[in-house]
Amino acid sequence: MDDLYTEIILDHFKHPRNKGQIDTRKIGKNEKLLSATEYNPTCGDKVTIQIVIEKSDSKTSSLIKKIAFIGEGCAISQAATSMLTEQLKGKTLKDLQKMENEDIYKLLQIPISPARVKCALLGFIATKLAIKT
Amino acid sequence: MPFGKGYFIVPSMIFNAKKLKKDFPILSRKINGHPLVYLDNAATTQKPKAVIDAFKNYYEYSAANVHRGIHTLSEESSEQYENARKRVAKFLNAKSPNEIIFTRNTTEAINLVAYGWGKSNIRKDDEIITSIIEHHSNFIPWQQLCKEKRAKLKIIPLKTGSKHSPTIPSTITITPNRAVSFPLTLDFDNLEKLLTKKTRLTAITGMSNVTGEKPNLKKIIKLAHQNSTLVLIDAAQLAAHEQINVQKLDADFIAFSAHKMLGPTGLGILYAKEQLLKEMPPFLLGGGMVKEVTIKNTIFADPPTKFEAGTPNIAAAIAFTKAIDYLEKIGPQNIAKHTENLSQLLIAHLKKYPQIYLQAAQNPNGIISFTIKNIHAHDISEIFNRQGVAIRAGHHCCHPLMQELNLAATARISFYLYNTEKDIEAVEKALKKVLAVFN
Repeated sequence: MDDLYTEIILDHFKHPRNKGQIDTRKIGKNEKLLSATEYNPTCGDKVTIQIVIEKSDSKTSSLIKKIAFIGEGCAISQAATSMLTEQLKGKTLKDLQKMENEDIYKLLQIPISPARVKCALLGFIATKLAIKT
Repeated sequence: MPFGKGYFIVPSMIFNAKKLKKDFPILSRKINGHPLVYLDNAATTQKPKAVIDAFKNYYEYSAANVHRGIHTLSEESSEQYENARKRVAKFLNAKSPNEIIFTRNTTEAINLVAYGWGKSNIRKDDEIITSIIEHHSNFIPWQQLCKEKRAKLKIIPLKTGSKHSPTIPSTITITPNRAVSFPLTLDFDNLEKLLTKKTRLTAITGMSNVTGEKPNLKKIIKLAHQNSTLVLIDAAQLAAHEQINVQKLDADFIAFSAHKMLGPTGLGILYAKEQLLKEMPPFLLGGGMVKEVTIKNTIFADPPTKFEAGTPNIAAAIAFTKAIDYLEKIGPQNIAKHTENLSQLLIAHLKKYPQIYLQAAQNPNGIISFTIKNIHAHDISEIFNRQGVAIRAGHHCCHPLMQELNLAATARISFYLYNTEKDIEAVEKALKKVLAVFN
């Protein structure tokens, strides 16, 4: 099972990066807060992503200034979301829009069986939902 | 057989479960190189060869549609199907086979009552009682019926008290897996007060698929009937773990599934008192359930035919009789003792670990849910699976209960007649692995 619960995964699970609620009072005038929640109905996991972007004329070049997540989930979903938020800090919306499921699997570097796909993608789906708004 | 620290002497096994395993072909499978240890019986049970053979034999020898089509195959098929109905009636000690309706599953059986009896009997301001531990199949139909009719849904809560409170667990701090102390039981102390002139139905589980609790049905039914309230029992788990005698129990509706008691999937049973069935309008409408159809009108058949529209799951009904034979040979009361023994053994083991929390009744009768501090149920079941041990992780279709316990998911171990103490050894081994990975 070490091929699934690798040190990296366990590290991100035990010490998730960017976990917590963003203080909405601290959002600047030229910033915008995007948010979305995604559920995994099979296990009751839930993740909420908050993204603070810098408003810009070109929507897609908006910079992701802050990104955070809250919610409970298994090691795979928490680690995947933690890794994703680390990746996205300082990137643009366009970078996020270009991301596909494959990129998440590449981040995780572990075999994801069909049963765990939703776990691995939970945070990613929430993130994509957030930028749709 | 010693394992871990100290012996656990199990009272002389009521039957030889190890020997029974041989009757179940699938139990000789290997998962990830380990022998399969199947502990997800609350989800579905494995089938003995006799059931599989009966299913196969029907298709190889007697397959035809029912409703007495004159030709030999149809006559055989119809007779076998109706014999299956009689067999179930006898098994339950029903007054007549007319009180047995075959459906697709427990869920459909309960919906049949909600649509058939519910829609024509529940009016505005009427009341239906259910409980916080119900499976969605015995919760949502009543919730939606009450919404539609502007009736009131009353919910029997969990016991609170000095030991624990469902929303503020006494033992633990706020962690991703909030602990809830054991045992969990429903609070029936106020049932009499809940029953009013307006209470038309009490829909209650015979055995929880999360905690294993078996409410005192006789007492509940007595109180309800004194109040002229009907009672529906969700017996999906109960029917597999106890001999149901409908005369003694006197419930008005009982719903259960074949596949949770060694039978095939796709077959549910609704038992209901004949008088109720005669008065109820049908649920599903179509072929096979009519006396006569004209352009303007339809005259429905009598029960049970009235409630069996379309081609039924003939093979499953016939195969189910073999499951009943198998169960009767061992004795449902012996199966109950066996699974209760295993439950107590498992609980004794789990209690050794302070980071494991039980969500189970005092006598869980074979179904035990648990959580581990800071480890998600999904990861628990993943690692168990790597060891060949099949358990379930999730909310078990009991969102209201999970919300009440402040839990996202639990892991669940559920025993049946072919499980042994060796299976518990495998659980302990898998548990140690889980704790090692997430140390």
